[in-house]
Amino acid sequence: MPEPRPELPVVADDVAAAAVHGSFCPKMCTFACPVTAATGRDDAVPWSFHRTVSDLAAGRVATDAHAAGHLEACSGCLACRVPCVFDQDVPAQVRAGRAATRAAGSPVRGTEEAVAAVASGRSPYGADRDVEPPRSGTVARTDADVVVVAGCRDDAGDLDALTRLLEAAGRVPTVVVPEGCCGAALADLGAPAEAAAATARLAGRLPDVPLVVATDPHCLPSLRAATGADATVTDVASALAGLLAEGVLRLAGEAVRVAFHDPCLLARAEAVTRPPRLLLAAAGAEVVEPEGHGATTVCSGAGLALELVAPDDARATGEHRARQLTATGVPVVTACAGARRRLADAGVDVRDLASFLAERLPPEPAA
Amino acid sequence: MLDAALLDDLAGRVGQRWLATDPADTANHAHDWWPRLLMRRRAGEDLPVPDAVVTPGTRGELVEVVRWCDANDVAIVPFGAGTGVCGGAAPVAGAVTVDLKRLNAIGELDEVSGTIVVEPGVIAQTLEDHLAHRGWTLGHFPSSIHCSTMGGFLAIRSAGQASSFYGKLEDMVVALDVVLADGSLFSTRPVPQSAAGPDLTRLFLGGEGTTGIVAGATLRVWPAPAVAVDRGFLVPDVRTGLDAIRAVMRTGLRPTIVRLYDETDTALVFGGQGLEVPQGCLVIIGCEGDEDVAGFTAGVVRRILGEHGAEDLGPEPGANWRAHRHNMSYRFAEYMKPGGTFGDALMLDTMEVAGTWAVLPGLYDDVRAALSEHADLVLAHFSHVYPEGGSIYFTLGAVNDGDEARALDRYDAAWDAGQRAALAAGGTTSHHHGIGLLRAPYLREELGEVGFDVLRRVKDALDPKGLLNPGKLGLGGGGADGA
Ligand SMILES: Cc1cc2nc3c(=O)[nH]c(=O)nc-3n(C[C@H](O)[C@H](O)[C@H](O)COP(=O)(O)OP(=O)(O)OC[C@H]3O[C@@H](n4cnc5c(N)ncnc54)[C@H](O)[C@@H]3O)c2cc1C
Ligand code: SF4
Repeated sequence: MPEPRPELPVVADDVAAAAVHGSFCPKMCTFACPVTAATGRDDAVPWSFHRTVSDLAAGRVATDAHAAGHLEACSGCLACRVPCVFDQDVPAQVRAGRAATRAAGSPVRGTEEAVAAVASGRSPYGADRDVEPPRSGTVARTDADVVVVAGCRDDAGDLDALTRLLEAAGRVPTVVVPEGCCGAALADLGAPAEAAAATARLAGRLPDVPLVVATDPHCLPSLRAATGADATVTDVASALAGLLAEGVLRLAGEAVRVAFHDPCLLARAEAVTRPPRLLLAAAGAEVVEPEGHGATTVCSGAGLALELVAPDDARATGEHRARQLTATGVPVVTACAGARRRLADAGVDVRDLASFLAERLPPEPAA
Repeated sequence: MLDAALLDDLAGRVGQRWLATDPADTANHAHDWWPRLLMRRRAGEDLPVPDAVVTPGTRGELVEVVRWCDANDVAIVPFGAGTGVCGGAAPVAGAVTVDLKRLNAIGELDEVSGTIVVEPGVIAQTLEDHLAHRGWTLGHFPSSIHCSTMGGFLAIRSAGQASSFYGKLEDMVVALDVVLADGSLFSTRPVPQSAAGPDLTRLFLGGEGTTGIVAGATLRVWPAPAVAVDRGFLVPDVRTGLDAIRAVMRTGLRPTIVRLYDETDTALVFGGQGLEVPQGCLVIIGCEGDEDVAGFTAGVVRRILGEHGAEDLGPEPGANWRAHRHNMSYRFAEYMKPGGTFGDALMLDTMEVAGTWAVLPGLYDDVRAALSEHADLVLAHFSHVYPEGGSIYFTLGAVNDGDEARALDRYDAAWDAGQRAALAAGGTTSHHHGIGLLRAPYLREELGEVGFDVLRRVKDALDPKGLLNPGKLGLGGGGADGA
């Protein structure tokens, strides 16, 4: 093997070793990659990330804009991990590669703008994606027993719906809107120091309550890093399904058919596929399964900051998924703010799970 | 090197984004999955990269690219997923590599005729998933189904694990669309059979991009089988196993999966599961279809295997095979990477040959003996059988303790010996992996002087300038780097 160059950027040894391994794999998970399917980009094939990152780590390629260009087309959806017998974490390798090229002065597209936006307290996804605060009564409550942390692609209506559901189940929610970002999007862009700082800022604002609910599954790892060991950090579907199981959340509604789009990280990183279906069933909905569901769900292009790094590819990935979902012929429900936005942008009739369920809360008894 | 101004002109056909010329951007296309190229990469060699990689997004753009190449005398290397194992998609100096993965639409499923239209860049498992969601199957299950494109498979005359029922991929082709060397589009008529002159489709299946670029295909599909009835058997030796399988195929019934492992491969299958290794050879037979059909076929299989003295091992070997059918492909990296399971500089490859029933036993003995001269481990299974014969899939490996040069020497010697033994024994040098650069030295002998001349004339007529995948199939030209 060629001698490594001394000025090499740091890719952790274990990440580099995994990348070397993958670079000798015959591209076995190509079929699973939604970005490859949607764009046909050869450098979206998960194998290509192994090759690029292993070459970067060994100094076989320059740490420049060309390398950064080959670290764009991943949505971090972990679809490649499902068939991989080696449990490779391709997004982790992409993050490491992006961090290396950024450290060498060649960040992937959109990184510095996102870092600057977060530094000024704004969403990394741009001004039009800033989260509006929900009902003022649910913000900064001191008597709360549940914290809802808004994702940077949330909207006020969906947040409101979630708090209404929690209240209907007897909980006292408070909403925290992070200043800019919980850190997840910055980590995805290869800005680990800024990501850690954002997570620490959020940690300082989280009240000490036992349950933290993330509206966007992409935020779950940062929220776990931001909270104490005593708190449970979970997603919307799991939180609500827990309340349903306790018998404190009651839902009722007209029989309706919907398709559920499993958010990638929820289904694959968190293995949460039953709770949303239980909730939908409790609300009277019959779930039609689209092509690609459960652990083999197909990404909408919402992860690994793909919409910032390669907007055209994110759009194509969303449209690819939209075709599968619209083929069901029924409205779609999902449980990830990022996925909901991407699918809506691709023309899908899509609702947020919380909003869908909140409309099916039984009417409050007259006072 | 291709002229920069010329390439700017080419970029105009597809958009700048889809033309790569910087070596850092064309490196992914420096090799396919020919183990010899991987061994060279592992040894630290900088493999030559294509001068340019162009990725057309529509059939129209593909036609434009080919016309441009024709007008400018620029050679073309078609590239699917780069998982071919013979160097067929390896770059050629001065040529443009044409990546076909953006042409990946799946067309209408015609449930009345049982056909589907696909573009060449569709990954085979994507097609199978698409069909499965609709209750259908193509029936093409190669070990590389997760990673290879339909265009690549068509170009090399691929075979899947269920070939005994569904046939090789070439048998599933109802119609083919091909872009010829001058950019004209040739389409065959989607009809079940025809006697309207010679079957021109066959000029392109197995052409490996030397006769034209597959731009689409209409394929025969089947309703997905309702059940699969799998059973394992143990026979005393390879010859008994072959006799038993031949007798099954003679009944006219068609199991989908038929696999006979030689003693060494049987030991690996059982040992790999931590089971006691039995004496003899494992046979796995899978029967699929409606319950009554599969059940009946499985009953006949059991009777015939019993008549040949086979021990019935029940359904577990079949279930185990299904659960792990692609494992060896996934595990490839574990063995081949630097510092892999068997140390640095492992030599590892597979060689699939085929012959008629009369030839098969001798073919097995001779190729195995030839390979064993140069490899530390040789094992084989028979996995695609037809009424008149079948194929043998050899795996060959050699440990070289870090000596990459020795690994390459042993690789070349093993291949040469194995291929010559196959020809001498009356078999074919390739059942389904194709020729590429790897087998180019043996194609003339395989086809015979006159046969090779026919191929040469077909090539000259279809591609008079020799621009399509030069150097592959041993047709000369292009300075392809196969050394
Ligand atoms: C782990 C592993 C397991 C395998 N198992 C099997 C198996 O079970 N059965 C089997 O048959 N094969 C198998 N193969 C071989 C491989 O799947 C085939 O060679 C397949 O054709 C490669 O497809 P590709 O898209 O990667 O083609 P490439 O490697 O990109 O190209 C293969 C050849 O076809 C040409 N080509 C590609 N696309 C076109 C096109 N549209 N028009 C004209 N020419 C074209 C190329 O120039 C090249 O000559 C295996 C390979 C691997 C790595
Ligand atoms: S993620 Fe696994 S299957 Fe995919 S290329 Fe990497 S090693 Fe191969």
